[in-house]
Amino acid sequence: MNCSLEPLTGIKAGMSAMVKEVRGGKNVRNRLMEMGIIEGTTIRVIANSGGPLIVQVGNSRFAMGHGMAQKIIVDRVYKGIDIALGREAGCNENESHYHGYSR
Amino acid sequence: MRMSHITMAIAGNPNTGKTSLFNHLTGARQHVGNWPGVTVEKKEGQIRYKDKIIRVVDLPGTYSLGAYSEDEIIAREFILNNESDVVVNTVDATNLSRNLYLTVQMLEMDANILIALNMMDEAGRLGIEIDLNRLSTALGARVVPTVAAKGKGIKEIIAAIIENGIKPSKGKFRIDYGEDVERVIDNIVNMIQDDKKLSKYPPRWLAIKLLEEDEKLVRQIKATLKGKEILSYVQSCRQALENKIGENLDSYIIAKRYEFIHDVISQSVQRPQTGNDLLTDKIDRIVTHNILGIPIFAAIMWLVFTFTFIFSEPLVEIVETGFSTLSELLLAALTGIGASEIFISFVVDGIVSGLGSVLSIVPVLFLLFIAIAMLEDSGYMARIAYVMDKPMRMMGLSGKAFVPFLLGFGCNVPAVMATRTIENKRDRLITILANPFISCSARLPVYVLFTSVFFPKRQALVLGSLYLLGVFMAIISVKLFGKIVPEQDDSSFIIELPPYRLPTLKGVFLHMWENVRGFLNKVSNIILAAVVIIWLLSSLPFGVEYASDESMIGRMSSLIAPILKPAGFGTWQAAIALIFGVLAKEIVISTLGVVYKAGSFGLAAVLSEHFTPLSAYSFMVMTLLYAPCIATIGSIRSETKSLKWTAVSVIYGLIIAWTMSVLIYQIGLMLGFS
Repeated sequence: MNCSLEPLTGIKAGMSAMVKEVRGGKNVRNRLMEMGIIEGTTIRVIANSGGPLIVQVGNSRFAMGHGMAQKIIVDRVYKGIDIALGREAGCNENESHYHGYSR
Repeated sequence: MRMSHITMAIAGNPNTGKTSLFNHLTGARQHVGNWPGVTVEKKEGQIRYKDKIIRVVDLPGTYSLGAYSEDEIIAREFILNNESDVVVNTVDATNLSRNLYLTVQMLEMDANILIALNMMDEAGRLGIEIDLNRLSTALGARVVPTVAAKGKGIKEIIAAIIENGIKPSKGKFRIDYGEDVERVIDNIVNMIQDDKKLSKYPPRWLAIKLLEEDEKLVRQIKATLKGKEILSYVQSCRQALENKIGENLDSYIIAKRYEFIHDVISQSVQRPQTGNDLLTDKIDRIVTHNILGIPIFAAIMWLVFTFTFIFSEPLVEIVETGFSTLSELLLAALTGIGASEIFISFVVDGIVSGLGSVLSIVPVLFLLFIAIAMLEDSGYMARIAYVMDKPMRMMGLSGKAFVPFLLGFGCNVPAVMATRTIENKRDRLITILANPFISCSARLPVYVLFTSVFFPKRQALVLGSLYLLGVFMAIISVKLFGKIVPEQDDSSFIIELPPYRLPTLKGVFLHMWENVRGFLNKVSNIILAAVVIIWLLSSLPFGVEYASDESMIGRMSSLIAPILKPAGFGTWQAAIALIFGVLAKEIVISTLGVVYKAGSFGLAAVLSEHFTPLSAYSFMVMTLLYAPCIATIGSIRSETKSLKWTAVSVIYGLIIAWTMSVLIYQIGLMLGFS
């Protein structure tokens, strides 16, 4: 199974991705989670300027700075259909290639 | 029933109809503290229902009740202190999962909650079916469906509170955090239970908050008798738990709350796929477009300013005519009853004409605030932060700081007030301090007069150069203060973008009026004091001609004049005009008219006798940059809540203005201009 974990900043406008991990310092992490961005949530990217992004989570949309979006690690393989069918992620934490991104 | 007084608090996420609910509940019986709504100050109102009185307190809109922002702390303390008998929690029915996160936190605090399940019409449109009974049972809280924007469900809320009364439900609500964490929670509860100092906190809630490392509570615990012991126990447990669960404990706890919420939702909600708001999608695709975004924004702002200036001109005239008629009438009336000359001068020259000059900006405020209210209520305002983020990053600020700078071109007062939307305190302070250099509309008449006399052929160029200089100084100041004001850990931002809505007339006017009233309430003292002081200085010692070189202010100006000499205008007349200009910058002109005994028509002719083109330019630079006007100073004071930073702003402005005008005059002389 193909698996590609990457920060949300890599997702193009119009695409969706599933949140795998929220990183960063406690404040940023908690802030994002309290706004509903938690593991397993699907995020739809509405605009991605290379700087800030506009995303939709549930029925609300947010503008977020580039720095924040980098803290959100997502899996772009997931599509609505995969979630509906309950397919599992095939990711091995150790070989994922998102190491080196900001923490 | 015994109770005749009930206190009700309203809590909820931003954009969930909290304000609508509050307005519908309280109607006209509102009392706004010093500053209206948006930030920390609280709004209060009253409901009379049969023989009962309900006091309604609007808590700040928050997503959570942690210790990050002042808003959250205020809402949390209010609930913990049991200041309210019941908390009405507005919950957006189309966005249950995130909204219930706040609800769950309040339930964990043993707050007595009544849920106003709002936007039910929208939920219906999206096909979301909510079983109210099941939701209520699962949460252990009463649920009332509402459409606050249309006033639906308001009566039912009041009835629910009055008729069913207040039923505290202490300690019933609990989320299962898993065996290991629960064991630790129990132990912590045992340790803190008998400390009287902590008795205001529900013990289980406190234990969980300590595991989450809530900064404020950790600090408070540290000061108690067994504080260190408790904290070191919590610390070691956290370590052990994190090793076991393989993630941060704070994240784990938040995730557990969401797990609970998702259980509740799956029991009580039938929802098809979340629908996308197609209209909002379409508009966003255009207005936040990578290339189109900025031009569209520029066009909207052009509209805002055109609107403001076209309509403000006649309104300003009305205000000015009104005040001058008033002073004539008062003069006649007071002379008629034989009032003393000093008293007449105090009323006419001091209060009426002084206030008149300052209040002539009120029409501009009105119109700008209407425009701001429309931008905000339509949902576009939040998008500006996104569109302007990249350019603002280059200056070290986030996109949210852009709007205040822009508004500064209209008037610095709403600009300073608009910085309230910037959460990051450092960015906010920097934006406030740099803002007065943006050339507001009151400075324009000064430029127009001087350029028409001294640069008739290059009027536009000279005008443009002054505006650019203002922007340039603002950028320099942002950079400078960016180095001085301590860095905050994260300037990255996240803001919710509300769906686009057509602003309502009533909503826009309420919104505008709140801001204008806020301004008047807050700065009227400062303005009145300034007006009186200036009058006194102009009249003392009694018997001298008002504001002549014999008066105190004239003598002060003569003292200041030599300091202004290197800038090319070392006369007491120029100095006094600048002093009066602090009331409002356009007064610089009328003051010059008075002291040169020229009236407003002869002034142009007289000016060329007293200024050269170079010293005129230098004088305009001074007018642009020196101390902000009194209304702006008042706003800076009330927004920063710091005398120190207000003083910094004034003194910094004076120093920069003097330096720049001296530099320009001296370099100009060297280059052979005159």
